[in-house]
Amino acid sequence: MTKKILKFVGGPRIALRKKVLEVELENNNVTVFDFLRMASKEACIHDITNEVKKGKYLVLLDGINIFYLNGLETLVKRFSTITIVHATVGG
Amino acid sequence: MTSPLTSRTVFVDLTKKKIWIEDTPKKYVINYMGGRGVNARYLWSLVKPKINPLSKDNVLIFGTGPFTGTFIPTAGQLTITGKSPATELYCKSNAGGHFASELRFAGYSHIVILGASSKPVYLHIVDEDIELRDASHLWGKNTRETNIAIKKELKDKDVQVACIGPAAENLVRFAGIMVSAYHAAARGGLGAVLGSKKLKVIAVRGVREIFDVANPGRLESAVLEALAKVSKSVKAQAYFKYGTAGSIEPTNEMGSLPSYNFKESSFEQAEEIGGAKLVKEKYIRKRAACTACPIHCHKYFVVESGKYKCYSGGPEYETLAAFGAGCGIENAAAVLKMHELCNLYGLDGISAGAIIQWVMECFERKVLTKEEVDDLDVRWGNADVAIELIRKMAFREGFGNILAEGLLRATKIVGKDSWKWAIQSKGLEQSRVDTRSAKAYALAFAVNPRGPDHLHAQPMAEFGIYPESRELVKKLLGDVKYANPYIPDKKAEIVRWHEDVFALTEVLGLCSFATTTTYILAPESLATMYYALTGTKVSAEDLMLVGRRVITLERCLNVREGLTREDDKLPWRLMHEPVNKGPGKGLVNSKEELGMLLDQYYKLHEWNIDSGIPPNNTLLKLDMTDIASELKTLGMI
Repeated sequence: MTKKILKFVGGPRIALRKKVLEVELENNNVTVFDFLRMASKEACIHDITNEVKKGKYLVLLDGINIFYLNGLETLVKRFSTITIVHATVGG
Repeated sequence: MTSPLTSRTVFVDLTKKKIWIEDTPKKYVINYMGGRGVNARYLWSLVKPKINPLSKDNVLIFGTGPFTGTFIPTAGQLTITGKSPATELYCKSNAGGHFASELRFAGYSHIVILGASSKPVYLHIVDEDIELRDASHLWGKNTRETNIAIKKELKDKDVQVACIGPAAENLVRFAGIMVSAYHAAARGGLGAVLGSKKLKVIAVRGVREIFDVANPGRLESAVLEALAKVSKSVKAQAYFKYGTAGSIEPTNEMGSLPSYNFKESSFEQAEEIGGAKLVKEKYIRKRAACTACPIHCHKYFVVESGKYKCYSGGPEYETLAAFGAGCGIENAAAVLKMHELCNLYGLDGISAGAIIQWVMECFERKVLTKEEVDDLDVRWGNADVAIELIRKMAFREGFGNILAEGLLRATKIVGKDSWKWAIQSKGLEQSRVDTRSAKAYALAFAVNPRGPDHLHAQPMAEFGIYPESRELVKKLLGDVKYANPYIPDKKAEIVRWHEDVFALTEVLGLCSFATTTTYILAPESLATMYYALTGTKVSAEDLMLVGRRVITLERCLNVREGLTREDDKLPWRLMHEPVNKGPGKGLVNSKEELGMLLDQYYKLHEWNIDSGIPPNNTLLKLDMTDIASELKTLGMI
């Protein structure tokens, strides 16, 4: 079993009323997409993968935007913290 | 009814107390279209190089574009242009609100302010009736008091006001101009130029201008299409909800939120000052729109009680980052108070925040003693002292008199290597973007004619956050992998596209939130709207070329002031001290990397790679014969 930290920041934290979840994975070889579906179910929140696809929420793996990696297909294996934050950048 | 292409300029000579109206020269309109472009062309003709920006020889130009005053989304932007007291180089500063459209309704596209008055005056424009009036009774008032007083005096609650506060009266080199009460054209210190001219207010009211739209049906469908895109844009929705304040949390999580004077790239208490919290805690109360804007990014905030009780327009990402993360202050109410004071005194919050952080670091390093800073305990996180420093800067009181000169000049007075942690370049304090982990921004900041600032190119696409930005990168460069801020590859192309479109946006009188920030209005849509509005057919490429011409003219204005490639650099810290943790750990804007980016950028622009100066051939290709000829006469090309 491997433990991952799922962190909600800003808009998602308020909307989903969650701050941090510890998610246990039997199989570490899962993609971000699978991980989010699994975690959503476990936390009893609606599936957030659609928000990510639309660009409303941003997924960061140890701070790195998943789109610099392999998007939702990136394996969560080598990362410890998965962050979900609202996607607004720019001033 | 007049064509939206009709461009008339109000000239005001404050020395001679003379006012006259001229058609904007046709060649300016043909080459530079309007707004920021025509402003820059006026500056080229009216200001001689090497003049003192705070002398009567400087000129200030207020410009609108051909879209201003129409219902094209975001067509409410005003560009103000002059020579900057901070950088002593070309400067444009931009603000939303309703001033620009009101000026167009009065029948004018530009106002040119010449000379200087011997006593405080204000300019009142109501259609053809234009006059200078005594403003002695307004001098010394803050911007809120000024707005209230002028509306009462003119018995017109809808008059649109651009005014300065005490900071500009005191010639603080980073004083701004407040437009429509809470919209700040603050970067580069153009408020101080108005202060030096003793022009406290420009109040404008227009009731006569109705545009003769060439093809109303076509324009309506183009606008409806754009509005549909806005309603679908998740980014526009986020701006509606949080404003730019919402950028605090994601920027922090990505390890790109400069804190403690750029020593760190994240702030542990970022959520305390982020947009989501400000909305939840009801500090942010109301959303407002500039003319014709469906996005409503502008906010009003209130702190109802306590020692930081305040209210104002905003806050924006930049001021929250500068006063909050930058100074190590986690108390949202205190940060909002600092934002309010900047608006009231008429100060650039980005510069003020950068200066306070620098003082805090000087204090920490014992480069400045408590006695030298007027007995203030300037340690990180001390909000009350930061508030006091803002006041001292605005009124040039005690140590504040040194800080009022801006970072570059202050480091020369304080000495002791303090320039190394002064986050400025070309004399302008840097916006709150950690360019070490954002390579397109690094290049954009280095080549920005007004200094390291986000409102020249805004190459958001490099972050690849939105589907639209990733699509753009793929379209421009053939591969989405270049939408990655950590790698320097192909960043010159990304910067140049954003520069061209950003310039075009401000030429037309639009807001970049519709173009380079959200990618809602592509150049193709702008061309469709331009045709429908004016009856003149243009292609997206034609419009992009206008943007390119403006960028090149701005470069030439600085070349005329003596700027070369050597000046296109970033603050010392960002070029020498790598990011110490987070996803960008180890990244730095090294001289070698920046040099490579500059080579690519100059090459794309067809500028001289060694000097960074646009050569004769390039200027001729862009139909800038007049500019080329003058630079030749001056021996610069």
